This record gives sequence, C-alpha cells and structure tokens, in this order.
Amino acid sequence: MCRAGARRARGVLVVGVVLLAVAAAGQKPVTGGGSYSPPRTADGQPDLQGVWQALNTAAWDIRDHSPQLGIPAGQGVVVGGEIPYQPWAVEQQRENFENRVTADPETRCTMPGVPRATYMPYPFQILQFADRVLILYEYVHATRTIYMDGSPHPEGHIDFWMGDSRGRWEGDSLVVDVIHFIDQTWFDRAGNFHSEALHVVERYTPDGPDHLTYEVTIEDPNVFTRSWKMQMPLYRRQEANIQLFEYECFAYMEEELADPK
Amino acid sequence: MNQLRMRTSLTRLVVVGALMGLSPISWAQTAREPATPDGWEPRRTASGHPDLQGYWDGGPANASHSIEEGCCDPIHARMQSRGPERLGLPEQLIVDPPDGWIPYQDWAAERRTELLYDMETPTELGHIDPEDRCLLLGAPRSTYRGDVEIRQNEQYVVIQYEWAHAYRVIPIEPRAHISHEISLYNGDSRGHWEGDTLVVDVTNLNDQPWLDSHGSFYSDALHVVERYTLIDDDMIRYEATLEDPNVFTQPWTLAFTMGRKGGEGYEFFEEACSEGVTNVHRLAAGRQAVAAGERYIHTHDAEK
Repeated sequence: MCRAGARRARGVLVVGVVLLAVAAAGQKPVTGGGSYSPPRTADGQPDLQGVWQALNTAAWDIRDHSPQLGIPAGQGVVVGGEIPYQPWAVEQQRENFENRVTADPETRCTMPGVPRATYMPYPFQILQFADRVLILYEYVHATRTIYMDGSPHPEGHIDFWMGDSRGRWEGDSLVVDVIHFIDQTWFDRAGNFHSEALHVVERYTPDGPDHLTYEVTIEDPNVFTRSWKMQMPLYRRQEANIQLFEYECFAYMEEELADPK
Repeated sequence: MNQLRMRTSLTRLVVVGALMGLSPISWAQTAREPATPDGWEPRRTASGHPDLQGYWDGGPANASHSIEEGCCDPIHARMQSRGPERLGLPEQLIVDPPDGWIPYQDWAAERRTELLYDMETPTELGHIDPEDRCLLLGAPRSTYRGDVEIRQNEQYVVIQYEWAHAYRVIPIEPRAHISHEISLYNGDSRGHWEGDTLVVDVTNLNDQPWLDSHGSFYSDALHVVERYTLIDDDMIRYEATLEDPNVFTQPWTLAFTMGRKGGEGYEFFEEACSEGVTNVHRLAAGRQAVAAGERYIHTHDAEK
C-alpha cells in the first residue's frame, strides 16, 4: 500500500510538473500527458496501428444526456458542452431529434461519415504504409484511405459519405484534414447534423501503448456560428485474437424488409 | 443456338457429356500460364517478399456475369458501356476442370438452373444476384468484379476492392482461423508466402454470395485457396481453388492475370453501393409475376 501510494504521489507530481511546464509556455494542453513516445514503424512513423474502439455514449448523443430505455446516460464529448448552431439549425436539430426513429441515416444503413464512424459501437483498425494510412471500420465495412504524401484534396465539391482525407504527422500526432462530405450524415442518433460544407480536422495522439486521444475540430459555416471541438479517448482492444468482422447493416435490413416478421 | 440456352436445356446431357469427355463449349483460346521474362526478379518489400502493392485491374471483362460464359448480348454490352465486339470471356476462366465449367453435383446443377429462372422473377432475396443486393461478394468473386488495391506491411496484406468499398485484412503471421460458428460474406483469410507466391486460405464463408450473376452458388462449407504471384513488374497471376463437398464433385480452379492500373496519383474514389438502393420492389414484382404464372429463364438471346 505504501509503495502504491508513493507511486501515485510520484504520478501526481509528474502530471503537476507537466501542467506547470505547459502553463509556463502559455500553451493549452491538447492531449493527455504528452510525455509518451510511441513505438515506430520500420520506416520511422509513430506506430498507431491496431484495433481501436471508443467507449462512451457519443453514438447516442454527442452532448450530455439523461438515460432512457436502452440508452445509457452520458457526458458529452463536445468541448465546452455547447454546439454553436445558427438559429435555424437549432430548430433543424430539434426536428431531427423528434423524427430520429426514421430520419437518422443510421436507420438506412448508410456509411456513417466522419467523425461518427469513430465512435459507433464497433471496432476499427488503423494500418500504416509508406505513403498512406488506412482506417477500416467494421460498421458497414466503411473505409478511409488517408493519403500522407502531401497530395491536395481533389477538386470538388464531391459528395463522399466518408469525405476525402489528407493527413500529416505533427510530432507523434496523426492530423487528418477531411472535406468533400455529403449532407446526408449526422453526428449521432440525436439529430446533430452538418451540411456538405463540413470541414473536419482530426488529431489522433498516442497517450500510452493502449490509448489515443481523439480530437476533432468541426467547421461548417452553413450550420454553425464558429468552429467547435469534440474530444475523447480511444482504447486499444486487448483481446489477443482481436480482428474486424462484418456488420452488413444493409443486408440484414433487406432481409427484414423482404419478409417482415 | 446460344450457349447459355444449350447449357440450360441440356443440363443432364452436359453432365453425361462431361463424363464422356465432351465439352459443351470449345474455346478458341485456352487459358495458359503466361511466361515470366528470363532473369526477371520481382521488386521486393523491406521484409524480402515480392511487392504486390498498387492498383490492379479486376479479372477479365464479363467474368463477374458468368465465370463459364462471360457476357452477353449486344443489349447487355451496351448497358455496360462495352462495344458489341466485347462479348463472352476473353479467355477461359476455369482452368481445371479443362472443360471450363463448374463441376456441380447433379442436384446442384439443377438448383443452379432453377436460379436462372428465379432471378428473372425473384420471390425471395436469394433469387437476386448478391451484387445487386450490395452484399460483400466473397472470395474469389471480389477479385473479378472490379479493380483491386493491394497494400503490404510486416504483419498484413490488405486488399481493397473499388466495388462497394469492400476490404479484406489478411494476417501474414501464423494465426488460427476463427471458430466455425462464425460465418461471414468475405470469410476469414490467413496468408503465408510459398516462395514468391502469396497464398491465402479462406474459410468461414457464408452461403449467400454467388460466384457470378448466373446463380453459381456454393455452401458454407466452401474452402478457397488463393494464390497471388507477380509474373512481371506489372502483372499478377491470380489462382483460386474452390473446394465444397456439399456442392461440387471435385476441387476446381479458376485463374487469370491482373494488369497494373493507374499511374502517378491514381486513387480509388468512394463507391457507395447500398446507399439509395432497395430490392424490395423487385421482390414485389417477382412475386406478382409468379402468381400470374410467368416464369422464364435468364438468357442472352436478344430475341427472347
């Protein structure tokens, strides 16, 4: 007990020192400790590979919400708590929420978009190669290729369900710029939404061997009054035999529609 | 008389014919092993294996319509933006057995013929080409339905298919297959290198996908072994051996070459499939037609 206590005290001290140092430098800490150095791939990239999953209630509602039948209560993942909707969009979101049982794109089994794919209750896998990072999602086998070769977004506008992703390394963080979205996806099951002008910047920062801090900046001048952020930890799936399977939502839905029970 | 109709009406005779060494179709050009240039060595990854990475043409034109006959008639060709000269298969796809036909057990040949009727007036989802249902197409059909992207690192070979953004993650380190209680459209893939050939063992397949649009079905006992061999800088030889004791009389093999695709900056775009699609109206129409006594076979005969 004594040793554990001492270790904890040392931990608090380290965190305190880091916070002080950050405060002294006048910077806002964007990630956890910031002292963790991830392993490297053979070609020297920070190695973020593995099967990851969010463990929160953002799939239901990215904001604070009370429990209901089948829905656990949850604290929001929106930094500061407020989504800065324009006045018309406040109304639209309310309407979406009221009609969510039929209006949520998830009920049509479409690809969930970004960042919603990240916090659906299904695992996803990050795989790294010399000039690209792949993120493969179990949910409706959605995929993203994140080009890391400095190439620009293609000219548009293009209506992609998962957007067009171009990435870079900033220190040990994978930073991904995503545009070219269709306006048919939501952020959650509670009707939080965006337009095709959505611009997402994601930061995947390793905080330890089994944790990433996922920070997302959302910008959409058609819907919001300013940019805003979500932040959450992502957890490495620990099962030794973990692998992605399939969740073919559309196929299962059609089976139901073909022969209603 | 067109080959398909001959095939359909003479199913029994084909079986007998095959036993007698006759073939219902004679190939102008038979599949052959393409030659590797003398002294050629594949480019290799850091781990020393042939570098298969890049974008590759899916299998031969029309293969996904029928791995036995290709496709089709001028109307199909026009629908697929192909010239009228590009009918049939450019070369025989099934290399073993040598007649180029799937070695179905008798009951299975009959069921396949039934499916050629059912697909025209579907009354259940299983009568509709899985491609039209936006199902994952499984191995090997995914490889000849559209273009293919291969990526390799130390632990995995990842294959992405442009059609319906399908993917397979193939672990290369030794790892047991998953429990037989789990069945998946794309199955469970395990890879290893035999010399310079990537060999992928696929099990845990469900019985939903077809091998082509002609109702070429299999059971959940299917076991596929795929072989990917780089035969020059810009060509992969692909072979798949299919074994399914419930449906086929013997293991059989299809093979083709895949040419490198795209140049600097070539990328796949997202190909959403199911978004906006429904097959329920096709079932409604099919059920109505069958109730009215309509029933006819899928044919490539434009004068049908």
